[in-house]
Amino acid sequence: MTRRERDPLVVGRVIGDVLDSFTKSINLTISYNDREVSNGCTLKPSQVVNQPRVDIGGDDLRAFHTLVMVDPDAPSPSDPNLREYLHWLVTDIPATTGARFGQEVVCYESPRPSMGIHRMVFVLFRQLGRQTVYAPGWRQNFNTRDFAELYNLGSPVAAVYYNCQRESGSGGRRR
Amino acid sequence: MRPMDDVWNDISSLPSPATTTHFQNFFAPALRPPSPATISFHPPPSPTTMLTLLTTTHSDHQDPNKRLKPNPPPPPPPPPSIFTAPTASPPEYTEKFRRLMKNRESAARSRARKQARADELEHEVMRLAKENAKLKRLQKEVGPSHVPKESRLNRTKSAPF
Repeated sequence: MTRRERDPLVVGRVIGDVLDSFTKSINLTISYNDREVSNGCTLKPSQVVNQPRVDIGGDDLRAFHTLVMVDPDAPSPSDPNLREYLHWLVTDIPATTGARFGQEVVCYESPRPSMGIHRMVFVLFRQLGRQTVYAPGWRQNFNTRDFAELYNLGSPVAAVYYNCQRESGSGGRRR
Repeated sequence: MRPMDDVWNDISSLPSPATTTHFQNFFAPALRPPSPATISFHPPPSPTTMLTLLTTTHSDHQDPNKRLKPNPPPPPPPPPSIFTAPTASPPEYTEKFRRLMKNRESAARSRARKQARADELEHEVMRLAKENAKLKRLQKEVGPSHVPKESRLNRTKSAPF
């Protein structure tokens, strides 16, 4: 009998749609207004207007990390033709510190889903060293896998996601 | 009927291989413009032709008839919706079928959301229970020797050193 899959990242299809399977090796804590994000929790656009506090674990201040935040369900989960929409990109974050110590390559854009319930995914990578990362020309159709390959980031070291839908409900039936 | 050369020219100018079973649809007129509901995982969409509408990265060995299974597949990988060029006869292409598939996918996503949340909370509970047990254990070891702050000895001026 196969053991039922229990990793929320797999069940929620983050592994699959955005990432390949990986082993978590570092703590990643995302908090909006002192409220910590746990996988699959739901946040309203009004709660995520401003960039969250990001704290990462590890033990070596000389290890640098890249944080990516994407929406794989843009503009609508039933037709995600803008997958993945890049909301935030921060590099050179030293271990044991937070995003505010890194380089903001693409500034935080507040999620404003208009159709359906979107997953907002944070992914953390460990860099080989300090590196220059170039911002993509546009936010839509970003590809986290390709980005990681381009900058030799390897497999993710941590990931977390939350759900977000329009303030007044899920946008109803597609027009 | 279009000359065979034209057909072959069009086919060979396409970037990706097409499934052979759909060649005959090449002649059918497009009843409506390319559906915006076509789920494409390719970034900048290539020019839409009948054949690009019919091919996806997942359809290598899929038989269109298999998609009409009455029971939804067990833990579904997000089923790539292949909204093929609409022709009147095959039932897959009707508006009703489209809505059915969309609703199924939406239901599957909803189930996945619910299950993922439940799994995450289970992990949380286990983690917190472990931490709690550990803290209680630590407290037991250190606890008996704990003296409330006010009655602890404080240094005063009368000390001999």
